[in-house]
Amino acid sequence: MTEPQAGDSVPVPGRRRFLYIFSSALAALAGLVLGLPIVSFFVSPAYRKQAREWRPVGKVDGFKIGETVEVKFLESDPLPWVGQVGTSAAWLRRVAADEFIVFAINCTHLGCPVRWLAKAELFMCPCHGGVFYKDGTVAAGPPPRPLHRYDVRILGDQVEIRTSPVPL
Amino acid sequence: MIERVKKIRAWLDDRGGLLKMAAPLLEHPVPPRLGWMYVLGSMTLIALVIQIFTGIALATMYIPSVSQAYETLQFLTNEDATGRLLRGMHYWGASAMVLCVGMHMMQVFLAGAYKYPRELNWISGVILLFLILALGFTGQLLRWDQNAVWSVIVGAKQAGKIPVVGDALARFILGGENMGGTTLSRFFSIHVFILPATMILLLSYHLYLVIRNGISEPPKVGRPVDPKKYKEWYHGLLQKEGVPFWPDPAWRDLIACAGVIISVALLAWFLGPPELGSPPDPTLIDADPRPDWYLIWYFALLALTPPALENVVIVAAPAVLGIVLLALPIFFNHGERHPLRRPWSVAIVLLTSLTIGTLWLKGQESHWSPDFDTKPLPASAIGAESGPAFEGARIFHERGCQYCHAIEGYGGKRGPDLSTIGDRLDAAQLNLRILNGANNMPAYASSLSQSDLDFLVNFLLTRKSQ
Repeated sequence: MTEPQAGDSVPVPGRRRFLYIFSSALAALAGLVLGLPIVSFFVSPAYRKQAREWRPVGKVDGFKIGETVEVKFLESDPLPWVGQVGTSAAWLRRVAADEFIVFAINCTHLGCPVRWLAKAELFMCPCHGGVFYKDGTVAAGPPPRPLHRYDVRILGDQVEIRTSPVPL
Repeated sequence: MIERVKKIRAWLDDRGGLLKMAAPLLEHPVPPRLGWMYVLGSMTLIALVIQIFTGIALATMYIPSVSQAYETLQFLTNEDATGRLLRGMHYWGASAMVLCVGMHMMQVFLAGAYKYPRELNWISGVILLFLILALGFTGQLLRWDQNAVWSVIVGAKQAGKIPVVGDALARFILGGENMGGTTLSRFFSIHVFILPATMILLLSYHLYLVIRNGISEPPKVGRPVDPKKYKEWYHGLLQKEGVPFWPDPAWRDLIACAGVIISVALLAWFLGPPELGSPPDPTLIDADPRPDWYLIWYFALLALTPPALENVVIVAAPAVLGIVLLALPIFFNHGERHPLRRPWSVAIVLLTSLTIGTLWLKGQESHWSPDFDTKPLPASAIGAESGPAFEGARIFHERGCQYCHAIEGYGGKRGPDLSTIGDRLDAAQLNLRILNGANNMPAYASSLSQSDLDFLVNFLLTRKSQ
C-alpha cells in the first residue's frame, strides 16, 4: 500500500478522522446550543418554586363562629396578564373566636372543586361523589385523605392565609 | 387548450418531477379484493386533515391567553357564523378521528395485519393513537371555560400520582405550582405545534411503511404468516393478482373520505360546536368537569374503581396497556391471521368494546355524582302537605340526603333508591344508619338534631310499596 504523498487530493486518514470527529462534535454542540434553552424554558415550570405569601381573605369580624364560607385570594407570583385565573378560592371555617381552618376547594380524589352544603354540614364533590365532614375528614366516596388545609393566621383585624401549591 | 395544459404539465414534470414522484405511489400494486374495511386508515387520515385546516383557520382568531381565550371563543361561537361552523367541524373532526382510529386499530387487530412484516406499522400506529388522544384532551382544554380549567387540575392531579416524576409532571402540566398565566399558552403550544408536528412525522413514517411493506392482503382461513416465506409469497401475489392502488381500491377511500368530510360538516352545521361553559374562573366552584364523549368511559372507570386500586388504574394500567400494545407484534408476529382461527383475539375485541361501551353508558349516567339540582319532593310524592312526614321530606332535601338518594324519581342515584325503604328497615335501623352512616354514606350524628332525626325517620318509614 502506498502512502499518500504531499499534494494528494485525498486527505490523510488522520486528517479525515479529525474532520469527522470535529464536525460531529460541532454539530452536537450546535444541537445543544439550540436545544438546551428551548427544553429548559419548556420544562422549567416543573421545577420553579413559587413564593409562599400571606394573603388577607377578610376581617375577623366578618366571619361567624361555626360558619363555613368561600374566600378568594390572589395566588403568589401572578403574571401581569393572568386575569381572573390567578385568583383561587378556599373554604374558611371559623371554629372559635380565634381559631380558623381554611380548606383547599380541591377534592383529594382528583382535584375537582368541592361544594359546601351548609345545612348538611358536608363538603361534596360533583365529579365522583367524594364527601367530607365539616372538619375536612373523609365521610364517603373515593377521596383517599382529608381536605388539604392552608396555613392561616390573624394579623390585626384580618384573617390571612398562606398560598401553597395546588394539593396533588 | 388541452394541448397547452399538457405542455405545462410536461414542463412541470420535467423540471419538478412531482408527478413522476407521485405516480409510483398511486400506481403501486396492492392485493386484490381489499374491500371496505380497508378505508378506515384513510378515514382517520382525512379526519386529521380536517383538524389541521380547521385548526389553522381557528388559530387566526383564537388568542391563547388565559384572560382572553374565552372571549375570543365566545366571539367565534356566537358572533361569527363561519367561526361557529369551523369550531363545530374541529370538534366533530376530533370525534371522527378518535372513532376512526379506534375502528382502524380494531380492524388491523382482528385481521392480524400487525404480523410480519408489518410490526412497525402497528407500533407507529399505537403511538399515533396515544397522540390522537393527547390531542383530544389538550384540545378540550383550549376551550378554556370553567370545565377546561378544572380539567387541567384533574389532569395534573392524575399525573401527580405517578411515582417519582409525578409532582414534576403535574407542575409541568400546570406551568407552575398553580394555574397561572402560562397554563393555557403551554397547552396551546402542545396542541398546535408539538403534538401535530410529532404526529405528522410519525404519520409520514406510518404511511411510508404501508407503501414499503405493502397493504396486507385480506386474511384467509388456513393461510398463516410464515416470516421465512411471507415476503416472497406476497410479492408473488402482487405480481400475479396485484392491482394498482389508483383507481382500483382508492375509489373506496375517496368515497369514505368524502363521507367523513360531509358528515363532519353536517354535524357541525346542525349540532354546532360544544357550548362554552361558565368563564374560566377558579373561584366559581359550581363546576362539574368531565371530559368530551370519547373519554367519558375513562371518567367512569375512575369513579367506579375501588380506592385501593385507583393508583393502579391511573398509573399502572395505561403503562401496562401501552407496553402490551407496543409489544404485541413482537411476540405474535406469525401464524394464522383470520379471526375465525384466532378466537382469543375476537374475545379481546368483544370484551374491550363491551367494557368501554358499558363504562361509557355509566359515564353518561354518572350515577355516582350527587344530584345538586334536585328539587324538594312535591306534596304528591310525600303524600302529605304538612305534618311530620312533610317536615321529614323537607329535611331529607335540605340535609343533602336527596342529593344521593331518590324517592319516587326525585333525587340522586348515588345511594339506594329509598322509595320503599319503609318496607326494608324499621325505625331503630334507620336511626342507626343515619347517625352512624354506612358504607359510602356519611354519619349525621354530629349534625342532626334529635327532632330533625325523628322527622326524617318518620318520613322514611312512610315510604312503603303499598
